Amino acid sequence: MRLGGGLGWFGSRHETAEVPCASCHQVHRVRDRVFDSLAQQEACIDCHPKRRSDILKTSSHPLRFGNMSCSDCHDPHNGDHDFLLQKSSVNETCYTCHTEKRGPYLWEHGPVSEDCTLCHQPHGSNHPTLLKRRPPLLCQQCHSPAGHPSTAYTSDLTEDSFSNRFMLGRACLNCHSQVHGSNHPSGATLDR
Amino acid sequence: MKGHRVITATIGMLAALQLSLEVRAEEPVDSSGWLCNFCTYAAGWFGSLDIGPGYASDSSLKFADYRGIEDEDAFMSVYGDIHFRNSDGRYFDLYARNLGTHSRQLEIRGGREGRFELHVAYDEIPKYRGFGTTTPYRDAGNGQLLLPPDWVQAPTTAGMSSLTDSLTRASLHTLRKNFVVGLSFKKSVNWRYELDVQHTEKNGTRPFGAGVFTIQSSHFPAPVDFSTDRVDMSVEYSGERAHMRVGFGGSWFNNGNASVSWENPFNPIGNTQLLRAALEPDSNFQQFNFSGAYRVTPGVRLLGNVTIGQIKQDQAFLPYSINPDFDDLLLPRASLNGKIDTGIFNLATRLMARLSPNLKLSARIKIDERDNSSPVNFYTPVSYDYVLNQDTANRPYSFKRNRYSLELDYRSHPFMRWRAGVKRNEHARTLQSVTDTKERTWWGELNFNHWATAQLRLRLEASDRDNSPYVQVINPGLRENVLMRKFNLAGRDRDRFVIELDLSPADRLSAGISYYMSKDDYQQSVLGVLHSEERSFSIDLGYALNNKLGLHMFFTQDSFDSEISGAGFPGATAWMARTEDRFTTFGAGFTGKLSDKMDISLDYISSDSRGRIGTDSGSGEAPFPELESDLVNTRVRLNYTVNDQWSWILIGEHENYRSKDWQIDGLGNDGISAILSFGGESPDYSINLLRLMASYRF
Repeated sequence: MRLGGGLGWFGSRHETAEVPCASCHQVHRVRDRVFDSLAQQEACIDCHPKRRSDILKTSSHPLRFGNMSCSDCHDPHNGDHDFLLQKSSVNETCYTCHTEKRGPYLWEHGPVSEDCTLCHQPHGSNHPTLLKRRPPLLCQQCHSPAGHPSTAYTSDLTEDSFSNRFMLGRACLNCHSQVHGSNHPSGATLDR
Repeated sequence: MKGHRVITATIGMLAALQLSLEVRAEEPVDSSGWLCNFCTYAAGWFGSLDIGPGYASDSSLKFADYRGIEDEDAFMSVYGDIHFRNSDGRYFDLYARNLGTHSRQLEIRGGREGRFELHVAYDEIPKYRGFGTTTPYRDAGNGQLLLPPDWVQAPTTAGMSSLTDSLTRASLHTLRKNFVVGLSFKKSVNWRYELDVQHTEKNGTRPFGAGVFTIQSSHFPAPVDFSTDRVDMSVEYSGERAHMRVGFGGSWFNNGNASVSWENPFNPIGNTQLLRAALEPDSNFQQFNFSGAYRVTPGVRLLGNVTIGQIKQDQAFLPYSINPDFDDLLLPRASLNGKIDTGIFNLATRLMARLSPNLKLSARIKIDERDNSSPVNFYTPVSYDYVLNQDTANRPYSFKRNRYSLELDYRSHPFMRWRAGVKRNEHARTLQSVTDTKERTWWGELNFNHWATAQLRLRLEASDRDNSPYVQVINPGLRENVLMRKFNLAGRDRDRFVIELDLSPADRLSAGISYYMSKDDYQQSVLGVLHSEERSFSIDLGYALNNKLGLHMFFTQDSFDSEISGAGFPGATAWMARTEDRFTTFGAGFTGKLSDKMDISLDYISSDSRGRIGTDSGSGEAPFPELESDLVNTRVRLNYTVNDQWSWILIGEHENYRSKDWQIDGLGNDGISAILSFGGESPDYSINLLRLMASYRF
């Protein structure tokens, strides 16, 4: 599908910033660089240099190798959607490829259904699976029931310590793997 | 797995209105007689094929991640661009990349300019997780993971005496295959039709951890057998004054495994020899959309967009437990019959008005809604397939977001623009601790643009967010501390600052400097996120020494910090955690001509990250070890032209990667007494990649 088609251009971020067509597009070429997934990145990074740093981070989408391009998620012509996204919301954009996450699940996780970027940094991170912070702190931002969710896990990670089973390996995901939601009738705590 | 017919009912509405009060006739330009003296149009077949062997000097799954070069071995490098053009507008384009690896991409387009186009594409994306991970589990098929027959169960991993001899490599690897066919054609000058059909498969395994009993758990590779079919179609009309598009998009997701079951590696309590979790359910999504624009007068334009869609899921429920002791426990329903109207009422209106030649006003209203009408019932969860819990009701979350914005744009000088605006976001939620949040944002921006020689953008933004009274949500799970404020629901003050400067002081020199800062304060929160801050600084330089040699360099430094507070129980002294993530990226390189026949390019990139976490509970604890990753990549490309048709391409690449992650390093499979884990180590490699390709141009 073509991007935008010009319908959402007026009032879009690029239009109001007075970005001329030739800033991104090339004429007199067999193939305009924006239609090549690797070359397109150069066009985008010219004005968004932080994204070059992001795609080199240890956890990132596969832009560095050209398996993806910026325009897989963003439509540079369309101002109808936030962040010039292809789809009408962040989650709908993510569900384009991560279809399995869309549910609806029997047991939903509130922030997951609201906005994937509450936990994930889609452009790159030094934490696994593009997470913004390392679990368990990522989870402890919001969860505080007395017991293991609210314990102060410290750097004593020896085998006999209380911390190690909640800090090491997959941390909270050692048990609660179903953080995006569970369709198991016994999955209320997202561990089934 | 059964597929489900979909009833669509997402309602989304986007409308945009643009009014220009400046009444200035736009005279149509007759370009029929124009001739471009710079355009050279090729005719017939032309293009290039680059084929040759490649070799990787070592193997690492981290290096193979997305690249698809998994082994220390030879592989084929196949790239191609093949084109056809003729005078009546018929064309054919073929693009091939990495055909010799599991990162291959192939795209074919053909048609007649302005009439029709057929588009076919195929690509693969390999994803690797876990480096050096091992497991005693064997995949028995159909999502069943069994332990070896001689497995020795024990209360802790230390007692699992057959563990070491039972370990095999845990291949945590998926391969995504994507196939697209598209057709577009124009029936006349005004009407355009498009149809895209896409089939995606993702197969392999992924890491999964699940509790066995209370604080015991085991890790195992869960099966991934996903397939998604998508259809997008649209009809578009482009007239003298009107422009509109009507489209439909459908997506059907199917999971080949409804569940995963695994044997209990610990001494089973009760009848818990076998345990089971549900995997992602089949679902489908349909969406209709309408976009339109109408030019009322040369200065007045009306724009609109309406979107309607729905997600449905009706996968049959698993029983409460695989434990036969609970066979008599009845479910309230056989499946969820889940339904979400998405974008459900998504209305955006933009008003853009030119008040004077130098002053523009724009206003915008956007409404997004998610209405989850899945039925609510009481369920009786069985924790760990052993403990019967109290009845718990499911909570289908819904929300509605209203956004309003007003913006002024004033050009005080041909080179200078001033912009300022205000935004208001209202977010209403159901079944959560806060029903309403309201955020106001004020921003101002200065833009200076002196043609191509100097551009400056300076932006300041401040916002504050209020929330309705915070209430306890008890169900499901345990009661939160009354002082907890979830960061997406809590009051917040946010300040942002951006400065970007681009300079081209000479024809051969270009420079760009940018700085970004965003700071969030949650001043009303006692527990939860208290503060977070993000900063980024970048420099880019480009210099062309002459027509044969160009240099480039970039440097970026990013930081991401946060402060989080918690308390072990209500009334306990709060603990404080600080996280600091630092990133430094540097690159430099050149492109040049060594002779008339030899071109060279060299690129050097380094990307380092450091993650620091410190938790202070008042006892003076030491911080955690640093999380580290260091990537260095050097790439040289030589191109030797033999004649007009043939050339040789030599690409040498060296990549060095070092990382440390205290969450997995040295853990092994039995490093945690209560968790049978994957083990594995942080990736660490140094690999040379060499490709030699013969390039034929025609």
